[in-house]
Amino acid sequence: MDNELSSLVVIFTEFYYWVTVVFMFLIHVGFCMYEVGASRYKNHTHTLMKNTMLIPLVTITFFFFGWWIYFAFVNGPWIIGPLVDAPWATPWSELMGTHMGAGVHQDTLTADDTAFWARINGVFWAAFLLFSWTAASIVSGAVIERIRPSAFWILAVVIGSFTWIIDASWGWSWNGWMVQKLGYHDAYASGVIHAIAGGFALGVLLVLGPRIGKFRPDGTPRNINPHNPWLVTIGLFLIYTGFWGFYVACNIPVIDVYGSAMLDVEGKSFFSATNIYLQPTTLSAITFNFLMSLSGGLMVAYLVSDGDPFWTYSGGLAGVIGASSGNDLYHPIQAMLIGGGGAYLAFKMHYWVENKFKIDDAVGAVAVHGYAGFYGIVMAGFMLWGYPSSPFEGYATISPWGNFIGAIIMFFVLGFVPAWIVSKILHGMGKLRLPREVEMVGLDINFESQRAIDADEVSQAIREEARAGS
Amino acid sequence: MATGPVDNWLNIDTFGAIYPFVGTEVLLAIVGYVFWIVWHIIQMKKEDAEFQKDIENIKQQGGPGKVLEDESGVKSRIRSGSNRLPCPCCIVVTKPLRLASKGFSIVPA
Repeated sequence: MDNELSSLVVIFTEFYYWVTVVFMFLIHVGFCMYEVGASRYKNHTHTLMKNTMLIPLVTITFFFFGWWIYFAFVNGPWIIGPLVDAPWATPWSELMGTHMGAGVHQDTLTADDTAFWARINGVFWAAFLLFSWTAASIVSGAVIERIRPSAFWILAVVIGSFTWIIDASWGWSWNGWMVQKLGYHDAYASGVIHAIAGGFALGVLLVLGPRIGKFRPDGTPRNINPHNPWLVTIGLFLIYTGFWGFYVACNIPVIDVYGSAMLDVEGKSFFSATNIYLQPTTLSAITFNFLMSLSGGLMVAYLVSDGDPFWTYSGGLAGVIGASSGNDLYHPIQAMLIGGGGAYLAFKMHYWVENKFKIDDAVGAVAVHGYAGFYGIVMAGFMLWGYPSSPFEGYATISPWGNFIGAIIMFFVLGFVPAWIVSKILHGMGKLRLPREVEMVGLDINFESQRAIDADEVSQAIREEARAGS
Repeated sequence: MATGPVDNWLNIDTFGAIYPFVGTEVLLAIVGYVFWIVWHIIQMKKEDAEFQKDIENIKQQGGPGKVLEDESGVKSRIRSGSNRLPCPCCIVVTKPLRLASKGFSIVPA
């Protein structure tokens, strides 16, 4: 930190990620509002707490092991190589605390690396952590009103601090084995966040079962409408807002692409923002494509749902998610059309799966995140066919089959399967679902009773005061 | 007495970790893991107790069907304007309120 220019780059990067974290916080605010709006009044408090408490639980576990997994598991491990040393990311590393960057930290880091991680570690960790919250929060909405909060929090840690960060290590880092061997490309996380979270939610839902009353005796579904559609829509607006931070957090703001350690093109410099694979992109490009894919999703969802606000807003999200894999490279009109396809698919698939398999996905999370995310990865495989997946030599190029295999890994291998296994274990212990009586009457029975008693006591006191004064 | 490695800010370019008790990181990590696991255990026990209490309350009221019937009755009275409820949010817990051991009801007699 003794050179003005390099210090400026590092401190700007530090500030850049910090800003993205603040924006992404709004995603969680939105999810909380959305879930409370979608749930029935008798479950509000527990629904809110269920989503809120994943914040600390995923945060501390992401500190304890999630962050290390991201760097250590890039080879699988043992798919293409062993565990990778990541001394800055262990919970006992000095670089996971307040550090001024001097000296060489342990034997495996250079002085420059030590100085870099001392500045960037916390904000970079937090940017990934907010993705972790999002992954867990996506699952939270699908399972409302019948899952035990304790079971959900265990599942939240599984996806938020374990499975999603494995997929990020494999397919959303510059040296992940999926990028190297499959040419996997998923720049803005159609798969690494959304498909995995949708698949995970589906795995839980299969074991958890539908809410009581969701299906008629003949198997056709009843509508359990959001009790407050306006809260739901404001929540979704906030998720849109936080999504800006999400997109920006997927980039590295300033880097010399030619000079990056492994590329090393002699005598040339090209400073640019890059995506997570260190491929150059611009904030302008992703701003075009974010808004155009959002618009495509909103427009198609409005038509296909006959103007239903819940599905129109959700379709906007599905539009962005459907185009996110390739939104670093698409033309904006391509992003719009692909986004529209994502919204159409999410809407149609949601009702088809609900009718066919009796899956009660309370907020359409599996459809909007899972199916649209899967579609997004596959579309990027076709649209970006032949593009290099990395600036480094020897990596596979982007291809339909590479991204299709990647989509399977995200949705099923790291999403559906772990969720189904953990849910089965919890179910076997009798710890997955609420007791039947409590589910029927409502989770907040005691809480609301106490509130009413307190209110009555106060109004009784006021009445007595009034009588005494009159 | 000094808890940390900083006794002035003059040589900041030579500083590494500057939080208190540098060198205790492994111990802190172990404490952190224990805190996390113990939290889950305590929370699960509290949750079990809460649900047990709910179930007993519901049983005393004649089961969930009876509670929901009463709730439905209150809603009908509100719709017909024959009720003076202080707060619509209390509707769903009308019957449980009575069994909240104070003989209280939000439905005026």
